[in-house]
Amino acid sequence: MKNSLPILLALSLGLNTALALYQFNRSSSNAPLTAQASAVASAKKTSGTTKSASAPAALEPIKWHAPKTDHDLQLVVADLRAAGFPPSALRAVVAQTLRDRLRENYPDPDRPYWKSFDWSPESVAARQKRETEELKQSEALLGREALPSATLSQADREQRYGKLSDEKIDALSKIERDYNQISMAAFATRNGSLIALDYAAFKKEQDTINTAKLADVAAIMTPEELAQYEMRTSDSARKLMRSIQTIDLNESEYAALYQAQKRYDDAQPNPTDGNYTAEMMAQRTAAQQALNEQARAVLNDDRFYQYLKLADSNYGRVAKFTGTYPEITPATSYALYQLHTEASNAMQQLSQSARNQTGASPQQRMLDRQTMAANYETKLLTLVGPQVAEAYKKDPAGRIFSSLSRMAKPPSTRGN
Amino acid sequence: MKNTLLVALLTLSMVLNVLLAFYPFASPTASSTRASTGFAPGHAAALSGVSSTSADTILWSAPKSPQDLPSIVANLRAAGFPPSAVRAIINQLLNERYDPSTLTANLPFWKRSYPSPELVAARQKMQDERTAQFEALLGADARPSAALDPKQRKQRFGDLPDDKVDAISRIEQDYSGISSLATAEAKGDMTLSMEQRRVLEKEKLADLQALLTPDQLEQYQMRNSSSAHSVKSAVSKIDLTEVEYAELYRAKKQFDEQTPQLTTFSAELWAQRTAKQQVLNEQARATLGESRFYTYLAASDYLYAQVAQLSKKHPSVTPAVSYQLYQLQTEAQQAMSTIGADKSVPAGQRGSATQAMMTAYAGKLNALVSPEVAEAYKKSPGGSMFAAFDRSLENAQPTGK
Repeated sequence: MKNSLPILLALSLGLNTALALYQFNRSSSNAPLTAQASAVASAKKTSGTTKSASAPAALEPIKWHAPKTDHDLQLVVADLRAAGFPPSALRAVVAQTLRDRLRENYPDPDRPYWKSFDWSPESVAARQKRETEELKQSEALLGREALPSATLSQADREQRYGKLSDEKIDALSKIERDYNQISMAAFATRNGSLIALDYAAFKKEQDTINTAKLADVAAIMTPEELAQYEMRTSDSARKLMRSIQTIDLNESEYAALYQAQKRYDDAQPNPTDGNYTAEMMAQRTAAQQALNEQARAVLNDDRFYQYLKLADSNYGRVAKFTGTYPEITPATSYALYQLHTEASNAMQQLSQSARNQTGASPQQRMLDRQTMAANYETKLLTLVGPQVAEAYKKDPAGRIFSSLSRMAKPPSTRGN
Repeated sequence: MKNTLLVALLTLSMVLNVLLAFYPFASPTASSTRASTGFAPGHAAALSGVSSTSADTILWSAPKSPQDLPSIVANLRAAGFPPSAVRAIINQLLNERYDPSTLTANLPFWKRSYPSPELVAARQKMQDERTAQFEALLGADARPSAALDPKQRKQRFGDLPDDKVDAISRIEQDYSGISSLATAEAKGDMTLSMEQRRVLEKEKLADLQALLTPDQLEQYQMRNSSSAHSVKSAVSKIDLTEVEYAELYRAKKQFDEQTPQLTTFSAELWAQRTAKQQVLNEQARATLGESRFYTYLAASDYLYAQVAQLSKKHPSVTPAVSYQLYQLQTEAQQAMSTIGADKSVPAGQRGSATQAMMTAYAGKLNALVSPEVAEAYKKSPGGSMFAAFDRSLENAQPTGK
């Protein structure tokens, strides 16, 4: 025993050294995170596949420990990569973990449920700070794998961005996110309510933001790319997509309709207080008529009437009424709608001249109104016949002809 | 002595061996940060066809069929992944497997935002299958009650137990799917869409009534109904107690039930609505008192908010004056509507009755505010009716005057 003690000690010291080296090596292999991830990546390249299961030698089995610091989270990501987790699973874990952590670090204030609607500038700023922080950390942890171009499904990407490159998609997403935050912050500073809004100031601010956003978007795209992007995502595009939901059309037809819709939207009058004046209404009606005729030239068949039901709510109401009369064709419905619009304009003009006290005397204006009303009543009867004309006057859509009928009678007989 | 030293050294060395051998488990704080917080490597002892490498560690193995998913869940759990991380990963895997955008991928981009009812039904079916698989895979961890943030849960569900939270979530999800389908079937017809929505709301309410006690149902609706959302938005800038909120909510609920949303309003319907709005406003005033009431009203009634804008240029238009102007405006609208609808007034007298009414309201306006404010008000959207009164009265005056 005495002689064996030095040998045992030597063996034990040797084992000490071996175990220490082993632990040191393990620790080293875990510490340089990017190096380890690169090793895994290169192992995948070598094996010619991205499937982790096919390269088990390069992968490191793992066990979960809850990350408490930023550094822990870096370790988690590196270990998940090392264990072969695909980017999508990695993103899911990171997003969940970041949300949990940020909720702890930036807790929502304790407030009663009836005070949960909080659009104060401070709350909006706090929410945006949390979102920005989450994004920043996510990008720091995952690199390119956190970028929108990497996370979009192929179908969603094609729908929204067409054939744009990854770089442009990522740059566009950032612009969209930034301006969305600016808009939200502006909304919050202006009461955070659509009801109690100073509409004029809000509209001016939103227009400024939209102009700046468009300039930023245009700066990173070619004119063709910008046109494609707008055809997919602009307000005009969204309106048009709603209007064509019940018809089929090809790309050149869509593009022609989009251009017409965009011209119409761009030329819309801009009421400072959110309310249209009579002049603005007239301008708008004329523009709508022009848009309709452009659409008719593109969709030169029954698709036009299907389109118009959703594109122009006034035609939609007329078509809904005539839908109960099989003898009334879509073309007659359209003629009825045009007559309706014409009569509305004529009434508006008479009211306007009365308002401005220009032109004829009040007595003459009354006579003019009677003549005009009789004229439109005759046109209505000629177009749809007496039975449908009477029914139309009683329908909410045809209320104006009911007024015109009353107006056409001498004052002493009205109301009978 | 020499032996004693050797024995001591040997003992020390052997203790060190034990410590080094069990380093990650015995000394989590003394080792490195990773031992306590990151992933601790285990020993690969791969099981056939799955990704577990030992009882508590995991290697990723891409699922090749739905049959692989249960083993992934089991292995993630065995490796210590918390339920939220397991949920996130499984959600992601199921999102890839049940991706609704694949259903519309063959459509041109301009047809994808408004898919046909058939496509919406297919999307709904896909969603149902996804939910069923999610629940089958995660069991209790798939329950909505398990995934809710405690604060959000309190806000949305109050003190409801897990099973009721889960059942409500299921009802909400079901009706959301049915509602999407109804919207697609309406093909842009807003009137039809609103009618369908009303029917669905009734059916949903019946389902909730069957699930909750009357008290629970009211608490749930006070948190989540559209009436509740309106009131919560309107009170965001004032302090109030739960009792006050409950009073406002009940009044608003009654108003909403009596005045359903329509796509168009006739003059008569609009007059009825404004009369009920007046009643609702007075109920709110009784609950909140003057000062808070005007703040509430500016955020809940668009017509009052428009009138109140006058105070920016005319400080004499206090909230109380704005409210009086607003009341005058709605009264005048109702009076116009009443005369128009009253068939008992002989045709020859209707014109003079209208003129008398206009004269009376023009006088009331002049008595309420200064001429300068009256003119400014008539140029505002809310006051344009009084400008029309002036014109009509002027036109009706005998010529030569």
